[in-house]
Parts: sequence; C-alpha cells; structure tokens
Amino acid sequence: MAPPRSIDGTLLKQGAEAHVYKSTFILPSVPCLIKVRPTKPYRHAILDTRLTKHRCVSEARLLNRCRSMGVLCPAVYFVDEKRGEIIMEWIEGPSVRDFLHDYVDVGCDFGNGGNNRGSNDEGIQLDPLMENIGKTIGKLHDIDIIHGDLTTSNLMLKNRENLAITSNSQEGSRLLTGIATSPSDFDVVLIDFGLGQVSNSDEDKAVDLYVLERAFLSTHPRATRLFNIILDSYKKNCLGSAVVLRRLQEVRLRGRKKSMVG
Amino acid sequence: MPTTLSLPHLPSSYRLHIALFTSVTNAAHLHSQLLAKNPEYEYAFIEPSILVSHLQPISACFRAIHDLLDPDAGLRTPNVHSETVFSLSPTHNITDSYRRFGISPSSTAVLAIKILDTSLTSYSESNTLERLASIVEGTEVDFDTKEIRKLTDLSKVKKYYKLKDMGYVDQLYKKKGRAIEEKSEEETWRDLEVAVLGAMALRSLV
Amino acid sequence: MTIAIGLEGSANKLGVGIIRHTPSKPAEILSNIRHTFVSPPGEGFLPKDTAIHHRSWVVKLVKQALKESGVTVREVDCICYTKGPGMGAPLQSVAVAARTLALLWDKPLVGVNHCVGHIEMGREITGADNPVVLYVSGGNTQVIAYADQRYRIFGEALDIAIGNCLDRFARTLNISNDPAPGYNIEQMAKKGKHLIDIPYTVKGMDCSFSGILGFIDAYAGEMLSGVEKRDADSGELITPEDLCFSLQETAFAMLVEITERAMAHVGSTQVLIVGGVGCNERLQEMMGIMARDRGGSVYATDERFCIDNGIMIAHAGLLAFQTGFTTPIDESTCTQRFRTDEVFVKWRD
Repeated sequence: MAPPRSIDGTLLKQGAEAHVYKSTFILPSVPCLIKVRPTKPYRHAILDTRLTKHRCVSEARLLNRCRSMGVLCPAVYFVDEKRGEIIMEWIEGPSVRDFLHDYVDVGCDFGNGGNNRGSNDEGIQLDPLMENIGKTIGKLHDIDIIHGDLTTSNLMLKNRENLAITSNSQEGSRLLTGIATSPSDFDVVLIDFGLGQVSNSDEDKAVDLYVLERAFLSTHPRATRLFNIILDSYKKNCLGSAVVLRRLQEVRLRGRKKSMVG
Repeated sequence: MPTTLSLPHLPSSYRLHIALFTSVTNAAHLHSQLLAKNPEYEYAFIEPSILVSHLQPISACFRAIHDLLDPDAGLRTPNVHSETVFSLSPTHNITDSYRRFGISPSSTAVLAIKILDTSLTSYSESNTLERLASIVEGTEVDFDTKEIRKLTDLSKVKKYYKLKDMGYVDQLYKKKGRAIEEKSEEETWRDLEVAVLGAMALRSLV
Repeated sequence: MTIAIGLEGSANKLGVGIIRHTPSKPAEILSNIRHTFVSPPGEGFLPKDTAIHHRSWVVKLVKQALKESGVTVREVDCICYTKGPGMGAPLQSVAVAARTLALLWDKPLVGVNHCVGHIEMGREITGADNPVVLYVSGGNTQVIAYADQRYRIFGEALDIAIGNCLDRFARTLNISNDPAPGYNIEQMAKKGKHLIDIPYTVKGMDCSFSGILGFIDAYAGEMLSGVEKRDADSGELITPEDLCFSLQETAFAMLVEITERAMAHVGSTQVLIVGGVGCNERLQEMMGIMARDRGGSVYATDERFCIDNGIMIAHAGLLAFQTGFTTPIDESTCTQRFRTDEVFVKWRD
C-alpha cells in the first residue's frame, strides 16, 4: 500500500469502512466527496491491503457502470487505488435515514402514512418516497448490479433542479423543506458501493433486498408498512422482480431457521 | 484571454494556462513540431471535438500532474503535456491516445494547455501567456463549456469513450413499452460529461 | 431477594446454575456447573446421543449445584430452562427435567431464550451497559443491538454459523473435540504464519461462511491427499496450522467488520462478545483493536460464561420472572427456532 496522505478537505464522517471528506475537485466551484479507506489495524496486513484495494477498485467501477447505465449514484472523478481513495461527485441532500429520523423527531407516526408533520405544517406523504426507492433499486437490479449494503443511510435524496455540476452550498437546508412539500421533485441516489458486485443472480438480488429489509426494519421498527411500499414498487418496476421476490421468501426463511445448531 | 488555474489537492505552484482556438490554420505545423519533439512546442495540444466540457481537459491535467508528483505512479509518456493528452484516454494505449485526443494536421480547432511549476526561476507569467496566445494561429475563444460544446463531435466521443451502454436501463424499459421520462438537453450533456470523466478516472483500473 | 435455578442443554453442554438477585446489588452466582458431551475426532455430536447424555447427567448436576450453592429447595423461587433455539432432542430432555422439578417442588417455570441468556449474562458480568453484541457460537452468528424492548438483529451469518464452520473444519483436519474443536483450532492457529487467500464474504451487516468452509475444506483435502502447497512469497510449505491461522484471520475479520458496521450504524462504542466462539482470544484481540480505534472498548467473558451454561439461563429467567413472567406447565414447550428478537425485554428501559 502506498502511504496515506493528508486530505485537503473537511472530514464529514468516520464511518466503519471509510473516512469521508467534503472538498472541491479541480475547480473551487465543483464540490466533491473524497472517500478514503483507511488501514484497519485489527486485520492481517495482507488481507487489509487486498480488501482495501479490491473495494476501492470495485466501488469505482460499479459507480461508473451504474451512473452511465442510467441509475443515479455519484459520478467518479478520480481514483487512486494505491491509496484507496476515490474522488466523486458531491450529492447535496439528506440520506433517507436522516430524512425519516426527522419525521420521527417531529412526532410523525410513519407507521400509518406519516401524514402529520407537526400541527400547522402542510401534510406530507412518505409513500412517494418509498415508491421511488423501490423503483430505483429495481433499476439497479435490472442492470445487474448488486449494491451489497442497502441501508437507508446509503440512499440519498437529491433535488431535481440541482443539475449543474457546480452547485451552491445552501442547497442542503432548502432541500429538506423542498422534499417535504413536493415529494416528486427529488431523485433517490444510491451511494456506497464498496460491497457491491455485478451479478445477474436472483439469489444475490434477493439477498440485497433482504439486507435492506433488515436494516430498514431494525432502524425504523414501526415502518413495516412503508417497507412493503418499497417492495410493491420494486415488483411493479423491476423487470426480473417476480423471481427475485419469490427468492426473497426463501432467503427470509433461511434467515429465520439459522438459529438451529448445524 | 487564456485561462490560468491552479488545482486543489496539488501543489499551488503548479499552474495551468489554457487557451481555446477556432479557425486554426497551423495545425499541420504544430503537429510536425510535436513529432519532431521540439521543446519549444511542449504543450498539450488537444483536439476539441472530443471534449464535452471544460472540466474534461482540466481533469486530464489533474491526472497528469498527480502522476508526475506521485512516486508510486510516475509518468507513462515523455512529459506532463503528452501525459495530459494520454490522460484523456480511457485506455492504456498511448499511441492511440495521441491520435484520438491530440491534434491532427487537419485540425481546425485546438485547445492548448501549458503546465508550469511557477516555483522555478525560469517561470514568467507574461512570457508564457504571450507565447500561448501566439503559438496557435487562429481565433481565440473563451475556454468554457459553452464554446466547447459547439465543437463537440458526439459520435466520436461516444466511440472513443465506449459509451454505447449509456442510459441502458431507460432503453431497456422503452423496449418493453414503458413510458420513459425524456431528459432535457442539459441533462443529456451532464450525463455525457460525467460518463466521460468517469471513463478517464477509471483508466488506471482498466 | 430472589433465587433461580437454570437448566441449559440446547447443544452438547448440559449446564446447571443457581443465581441470587438482591435489589441494587450485583447478581450472585451460587453455583455454575457443566458437563460436556464430547464426540470422537472427526465426528460431530448427534442430537440423539446428546439427549441421552443430558438425561443421564441432569439429576446428578442439579443435586451437585444445589449442594455447592448451599441453597435449599424451599428458597428457590423459579426454575428456568432453555426454551430454544437449539437441537430438538437435547432441548426436550432438559425441558422434561425442568417440568419435573417444577411439579416436584411446586415452583413456577420460566422458559428462556438461549441467546438472550448469553446477552444478559454478558452484560451482568462485564458491566457493559448498552453494547452492540456479537453472539458467536456453534449455532449462531448474530450482531445485536437493543432498541425498543427488543434485542434486534442487525446482522447475521446468512448460512452456517461461525462456530459450525470452525467445528466442521476441525473434523476435516481430524482435530480432537476435547475440550472443544474451536479451542484446538485456536491453539494451532497460534503456530500458523502464512495467510492463504480465502474468500471474504460480507454483505452489508451480514456475512457468509459456507463459501469459506467449502474453500478451505477443499484446500485441506488436497493437502491431506499429498498435494504440496507453498506460500507464494517464501516458498515454504503450507501447514495445517497455517490453515487454522488463515481461517481465523479471515473469518474473524469478517465478524469484526460487521460488528463495526453495526456500531457505526447505532452510534455505539461498546461491544460485548458472547457465545462459545467469544472465548477465542484472537477474536477478542481483534475486536479490542477495532473498538479502541472507535474510542470504545470490548467486553468479553471467560469460558465459564461464554460457553453454554446454566447460570445465564437462571439469570435471564430471573430477570423476566421479576417482571411477572412465568411459563405455565402446559406451555412449557421448547423450540429449535427461536429468534432473539422475538423476546419482549420487559426488564430494560
């Protein structure tokens, strides 16, 4: 592994797998995100190098494939695989996780429609958001990409208007309220393809959904109804959904019987 | 007026001077001087018809300077200017990259870039700009995406950057008889831009 | 002050423990004894034989536990037993024993989820207040965090459990099952030095071990049939110790990774390792490095509590009993499948 270097940017998140910085790419007007996979001292050095490089390369390839085939994700600007770094497009907007949290915090019961944001605000429906998520994952699977780590943190919301590659920084706060009033004006953007792969296997796609289901229901325990909207939309939009959803049943059953001594 | 830039994440002493010309009359001469390896003509002379945005050549400069300064990478071509042309390529074929992304004797437009380390005593900004303005015989226009798009040859861009799968999922759905939201012209350019930047960024992984 | 006796026998260990809870004091372990059914090298323990083992030892163990604890039958408040998950036949034989004691002594029964037993005992012993829990044993691999009165499963092995993977590999290498196959692999791994390239399968917060087992079994099979394998760098011969080392390094890295993901997800810096594989010192060490990097620490217990035991069943059962929970005799069944998140955790905030 090449030695790490200091990154010129603002550290946003020290996640489990990567450190994420906000910075600019080639021009001050092009915001970008720099994702660096640091060495994990707990694991064997050879294994660590292998995994870091593999994931960096694989993520860059998947992002590129995904974006160019027409499923929204950050575009790749620059890759330094020797240092495990990817410079990518900055996505302005909240994660679905933060967005849902915001709902819970203002006292919405999103178990039954989440149509009451506070007392005097306009009503909002989470359903279009869920439909959009299902559709986006359906598209992803139709181009044979498995995300590998579908959680609500890895789904972001981006305002439609925000087209230019250069953008201003006030976008974020405006977005939250923007989405709240007109949920059809945003796109769902997939991020973090570090565990992804290209595969046309129904099993892999089903496991992808199963991972999301578990992540979704463990983080948002009362949101079973919302998750079903995601699945319905996936069923409606994804060309291969029938087989994948049948397979999902099997994966679920397998998940539940695993508590058996083998 | 040529554009002068230094790039984030690279030493600020490295400066780019960029000028875009149309109605160029001396492309054959420039090309011959490149082949003769005349040091007076050490520039990145780029064929603008393969460009879709102003970010694309700057990104190539970024890769070239990055690799120049990175002891683990290093240049694959003789100098940072030839490396810039090579960095526009999505493949490792250097000869092909010169042919496709560099100028040809018949080019009628040229993007000229000079990359300099301004910490060297030999550097003079006024001399550099003067030389850049005169080396290409033609009409200088603004170096921006608007001017570049006037020169873009879309079929060449799609071929060289292997973009036949672009928007694949929409085409697939269309074929199945679904209604697909048409993209605006701006959205289409934007998709093309990031697809090209992505193809360049992934060269090292090919 | 309440006293419970706990009976555990979901796999090849039969355990009996007696615990005393006094308000605002740590739980007191009055006795905690165990007898293990050890199968010959190259063989796993079969449900039928394991059940026979438990039936023939349970009376003896209960008597001994009572004697050690100095508690009289009159002082016992409830009989706790493992309701599941686990192997059917051994679970049933212990449930029968528990029912018999309940009727004989006229005490209430409390059915306990085995996994919750591990978690509660781990929390009690280590003092970890609200950790992410990695539960790793022969039958289970789960990453768990508490939320809203449930132990929620964030990640798990999608096919076989880590302990099962280690046990089965031990069989391939014909490693002794005494005291435990995993223990013997750990000792051999300490002598290994070459890391061979093994599939690494993490999917989100889940992972998979069957591919790894298939790969290393095949690799070992070739070695055992006389094919020489050499390390790419040094040219040295790959040994069975290297295989154990490589298996542990790879599989444990996966476990630490999914645990770290869950910690990042719920914003916790504490991690508690429970279950039989949790005794493994290399796993504890790796988890410790990860937790320190995140500004937290790892909590683990020794073999008395990591390995299946009766005291954890007594402890978790007594926690439930104190909230008014009992299991009527006619509902005192047991079940092979009993998800950790099915239990309503009334005793926590």
